[in-house]
Formats: sequence, C-alpha cells, structure tokens
Amino acid sequence: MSTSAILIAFGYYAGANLGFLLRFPPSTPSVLWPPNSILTAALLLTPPRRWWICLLAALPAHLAAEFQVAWPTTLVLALFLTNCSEALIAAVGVRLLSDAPTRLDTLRRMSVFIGAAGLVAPFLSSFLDAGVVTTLRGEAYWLVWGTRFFSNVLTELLLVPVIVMTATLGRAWITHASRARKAEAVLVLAALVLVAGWAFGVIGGGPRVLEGPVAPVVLLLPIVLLAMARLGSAGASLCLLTTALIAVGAAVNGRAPFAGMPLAETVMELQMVLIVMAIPVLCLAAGMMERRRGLRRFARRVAELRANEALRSAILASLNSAVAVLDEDGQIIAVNTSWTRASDGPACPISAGLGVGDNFLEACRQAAGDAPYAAAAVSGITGVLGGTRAGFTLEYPCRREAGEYWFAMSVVRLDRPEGGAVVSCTDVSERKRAELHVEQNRQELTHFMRVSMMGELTASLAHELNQPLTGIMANAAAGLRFLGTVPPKLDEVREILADILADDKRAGDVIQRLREFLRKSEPRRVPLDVNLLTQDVVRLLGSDAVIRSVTIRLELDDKPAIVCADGVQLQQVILNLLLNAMDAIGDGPDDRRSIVVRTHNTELETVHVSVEDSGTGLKTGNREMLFEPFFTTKPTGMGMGLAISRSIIEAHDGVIWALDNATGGATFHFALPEFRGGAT
Amino acid sequence: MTDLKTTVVVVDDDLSVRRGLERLLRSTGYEVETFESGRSFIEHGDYGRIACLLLDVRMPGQSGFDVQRVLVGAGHKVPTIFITGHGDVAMAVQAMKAGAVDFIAKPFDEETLLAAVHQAVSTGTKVP
Repeated sequence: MSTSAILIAFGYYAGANLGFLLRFPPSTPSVLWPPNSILTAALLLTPPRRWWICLLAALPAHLAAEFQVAWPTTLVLALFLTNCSEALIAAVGVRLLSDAPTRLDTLRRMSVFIGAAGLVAPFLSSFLDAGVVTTLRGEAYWLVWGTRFFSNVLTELLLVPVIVMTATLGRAWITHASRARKAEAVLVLAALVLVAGWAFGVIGGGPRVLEGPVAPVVLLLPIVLLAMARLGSAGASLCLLTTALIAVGAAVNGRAPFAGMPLAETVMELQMVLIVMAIPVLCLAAGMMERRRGLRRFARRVAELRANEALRSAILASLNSAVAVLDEDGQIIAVNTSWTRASDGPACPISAGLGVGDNFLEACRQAAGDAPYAAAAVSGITGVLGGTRAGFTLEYPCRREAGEYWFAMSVVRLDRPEGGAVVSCTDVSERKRAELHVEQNRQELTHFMRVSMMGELTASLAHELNQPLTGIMANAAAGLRFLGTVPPKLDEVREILADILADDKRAGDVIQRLREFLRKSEPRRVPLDVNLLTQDVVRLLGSDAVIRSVTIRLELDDKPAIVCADGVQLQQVILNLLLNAMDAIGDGPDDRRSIVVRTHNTELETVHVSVEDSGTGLKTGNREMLFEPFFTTKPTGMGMGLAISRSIIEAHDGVIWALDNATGGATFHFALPEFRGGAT
Repeated sequence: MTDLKTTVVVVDDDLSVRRGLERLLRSTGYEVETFESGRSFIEHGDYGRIACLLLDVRMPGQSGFDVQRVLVGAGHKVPTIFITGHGDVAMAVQAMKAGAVDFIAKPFDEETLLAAVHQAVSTGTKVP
C-alpha cells in the first residue's frame, strides 16, 4: 500500500506539473489536467475502505505542486477539494453502475465509464472549481467552468483507461502477449508519434496547408482506428492520449497548425475534436473486444461440438450393436455402421433393410401381424417416444435357414426437447444358446437326481404297493370263499369288490405319482399351493418314515401358500430336504426321531418353507459348502442333492439356506416369491 | 366255547389290509378282531381269548416288536405271526427270537397265511 501511496503522490505531482506546462496563462485551468484523472484511476484501483490513503497521499503532492505558482493557501486547499470531489464522483459512479477495478472491455463498462467518470464527474466538480477560482481570483465564472470542464473531460477520457488498464492488464500483457503483438503495438505507437509530430508541426515544417487542430487529428484517425481494431481499448486510449499530448504541446508552443490563431478558441477546438473522436473510438474499441471475445467463445463452442460429434460418431461406429436414432415420429434419422452392415448377416427381422428416412415404428407395426414380439416392440417404442417410459428392452427369436437366432432390442429415450429414441439391436444368439445349453444340462442333472433319489425310496415304494396288494389278495380270497357258501354271501362280496377297487386305485395312484415324479419333461411353471405339494411329498415318503421310525409333523400355513413354480422340481427339493433330514437322524435315540415341515406366508410376500430335523446338526465350517456340488458328509452320497436343490430354488427366484437349531439338529429353509394372481 | 381260544387278532395300521384279513379269516370260520395300532391293542385287547395274533412289524408309534415285548413282559403267551411289507432275514431272525411262531412277508398268498394261522392256533390250543 505504501508503494501505491508513493506512486499516487508521485503521479499526482508529475501530472500537476505537466498540467502547468499545458496551460495558457493567465487562465488558471490547464488544457489537460492529469492529477484528477490520476486520482480517479487510483480510486478505481483501490477498495473504498482505503480511499482515504489515496486522498491523503495526494495532498502533499498537491501542495508541493501548487505552491510553485505562489497561489494563496486557501485557493490551493480549495482546489485540492474540488479535484478530490471529481475523483470521488467518478469512482463512486463507476462502482455503483459497473465494476471496479473496471476492465473497460465491454460496451456497457466503457459507456458507464464515459458517462460517470468522463462526463458527470467533471461536469459537477467544475461548478465547485469555477466557484472557488472566481471567488478567490476574480476570474470569469463560466469561462473557468468551461475551460476546466473540457480539459477534465478530455483528461479523464484519455488518461484513466491507460492507467487502469496498465495497472490491471499490463503485467499479464508483457508476460503473455506474443512477440508479434508487442512489435505491432510498438510500431503503431511509433507511427502515431511520427505522423502526429509531423501533422502538428513538431517534426519538420508540418503541412502548411492545414490550419487549426481538426485536420491533423483527422489525419491521425487511420492510425487510431488501427490501434483500436488491433490493440483494443488500451491501445486506442494510449494513442488518443499520445495524440492529445502532442497536439496540446504543439498548440501551447504555437506550432504550425495553430500559428496565428486565437489561443482560447484553438484550445477549445482541439479539446472538442479530441473528445468527439475519443468517445466513439473508446466505445467501438470496447465493443470490438466484447465481440471478439464472443466470437472466440463461439469458436470454442463450435470446436467442442465438433469434438463431441467426432466422439459420438467414433463411439457409434465402434459398437457391435446395430444402432439407429429415431425422431419423435419413429423415423430413422441416423444409423451406425453396424446397422448398415447388419443387413448382410443374420439380421434382426425388424430392422433388416431399414435405413435413414424409413419409419422404424411403422416397420414394427407391419411386422406385428406375424410376430408377437414386434407388437411388444411397438408398445415399448411408443411408450418411450411418448415419454411414458424411459426405456425398454426386449429379447426375441428369429428363425433362419441356418438355425435360430436371438436378438436383444434396447430402446432409450433421446434427451432433447423434441424427443426421439435410440434403438440398438444386438445379436445375442451365442449367449442365448449357451444359456439354453446350461439350462438343458441343469434339467438333465435335475432329472438324473430325481431318478437316483427314487432309489433311496424303493423300500418305501414297495411298502406303498404291498399294502393295497395285500388287501386285494386277502379280499379276493375271502370273496371266492363267500361265493362258495350256500347261499353265496353276496353282500360281503359287494363290499369286498368295492374295497378291491379302492385298493387298486390306491396302488395306481402310487404308480402315477412315481411316474409324474420321474417324468422327464420341460419345466412348466404354474401357480401351485406349496401346502398341497408338501403333503404329496410326505405321502410319498410316509412309508419310508415309518420304516425308519421317523415322525414327520406338518405345520402348514392356514392359508394356501401359492407360488409360481414347476411342481415336480419343487417336490424334488422338499423330498431331498426330507431324505437328508431322515439321514441326519439316522440311528439317533428314540426321543430324537422327528422332522417338522413348516410353511409360512411371510409379510415380505414370500412363501417360506422349513424342514427341521432333530439329527446331528451341521458340522462347523460346512455351512458355506453345503450347497456346493460334490460336497457330501454321507459315505454313499454323491453331493449333488443340495446343489440341485439350490439351482432349482434359484431358478425360481428364491433362496435356500441352512441353520443349526438351538436344541440340536438342523433346519433347512427356502423362500420363494409369493404368486399374486399374475401381478408379479 | 368261551374258554376256548378261538379269536384271531389282527393288528395293522393299514385299513385295507385289516379289512381284507378280517374277511379272509372270517370266511374260513375264525372269529376275528382287528386293531389299528399296537397301543389300542395293548389297551383293549382280551389276551386270554387270542388263539393267534397277526402283528404288523412296522407301524407308526409302537412297532410289532414293541407290542410283542409288552405281551411277553406281562406274561402272556400268545402265538404270534409277524407280517411285514419289507422283511429280510435279519428281521425274521429277530422275530423268531422274540417268540414268534411264524413270519410272513406281504404280499402273501392265501394258503401261506391260512396255514400259518392254522398252525399257530393248533399250537396254542395244544399248549395252554
């Protein structure tokens, strides 16, 4: 701050001395009076709370400068006050209406500066100044006012921009501007000095034909305009200041264009010409800077857009999926190379042959007659285009001579005001075939496990069939005997035959259940009641439980527990868990030979099934391994039962897990999504 | 006749088997009483009148062997034929050791059963 204060003091003092040089005694005001403008610039560059330092720094400089002319102290002090008032009015005006330190690089900033600092501040402060000078020195009021006003307007307009811009941009310009630009600035300024020197008769004889200040100034116009166009506000104001200094210097020294002219009028004319030229030049310079910046921004934006476009094209081209961009009516407005290429290979039946300009939505509508998936595509795309859904995906098959192909269509909304959508079609046949293969293997294995599980149930099944067969045999033998009596006991025989029929049906049911269970069929998911299913399984296993002296207790939910599942596979899971439970009980003590099967409709819209045994429990560390293939704790186990059970449950979007009971034994759980009348 | 042991008792959890055996034995002149479980037989059976007991081995709750043990424990000498749907040698040996007079596997034919019952009844009446 102290450096600034010294600079301000020095500048003020030097400016005052320059002002004295450019004066036409006996009139007090100068043609150019720099101190006020230097103070104005200082205030514009300083935050308001430090303005007092600037003003205080200027006071000694003012006193030192003014005492050279031996004026009364009162006048000197009064003139300091009027100078300060001008600077304050200018700085406050600019700060209120624009910004500070002002950059003067837009038309608005420059206009505010010209208005507040260039015109209003000198206009108002000149009344004070004229009053002081008139009172203390008896000069003519309006003459003083006019002289001071014009000189201060001129100085404010020419000097403040130069100082402010030098202070704010000078260092950056010296560091960053290219050498060519610096050379250009030096050349323009040198040309101006030379031409001005010549035009105003400072260098050489000067143009004798020209009289008065107008013509030489006009001569300089091309250079000023060049500076304005090439060097901006700073260059223009520097040129104008240089011109003014040379012109005023020439006028004060009575050089050629001013020779023999009345001094006061010459000065006034010179000031008017310079002011009239300065205002439009400064405005134009600021406007051009603003415009140039706008153009640069625009160019940058265009370059960015181009880069984005290039990026987008590259991304689109690199995609293996066939991609098309649709407008709001479903018409194709852009496609990528994969889309165009797709028509050569096994193409998506909808998109094949369509290109830019064709209506994709219409093509889907036409295909909808033969293919249900096309109808799904129509409703999906319509939803996306209509804004009711953000996107949708669809997988659909398509038969070709070479085999079956699968495609995945994905449609997302195009985020722009008029709407539209991006459609991508991908050949997912490989994945689909792999999935089908895996699923097929899983089915095979599942069936194999069912068959092998039946092996464990042979004793039970033999028992199940033995009972009705024994009944039938005994009944039939008795019937023959009753027929042999005289008279035949026909009532007995009738009852016997009814019992035989019932037994036969019972045996048939066992066979039927067995066949169902062993049948190798495509899994078919239907809504079914887990309670009924559990009862069926327990019936199938009932004899086995009796043989092994195990009690199976059912605690089923009062309400039907409906899931959407393949019944046989689900039975397989329950059967597997029950067989495991019985194995776990093994040769355990008589009071620990029970299994509890529970079903429960949970609040989480799932059906929870648990099989609790009173066996040996899970071995520590086995819990994570339990459901892994080939993991077994049984001497003759294959280790596939639980792995298959897990794959079945997971294929039904469920989970399966196992926990040890607090009272010994283990409980296996699984949970499946509850089926809610098609609303899943 | 009341002190003669003429009643054949069938204990089997399967209704159809019970009814078939009951009719067959009745058609050949036996008095027949049936029970659906070992427990109900032990609680309600009139052991003194039993000429022959047809006892299913595997039943929910008490097994045939359990019932036999109770009878022997209580000092009743009842000629017992075990019937089973899944017999093997080990089980047959166990049955004979438990004091059975015979062991028949389901499904059995008429003659086998009737012969066994007849044998048991006559054994029982000869040795009171």
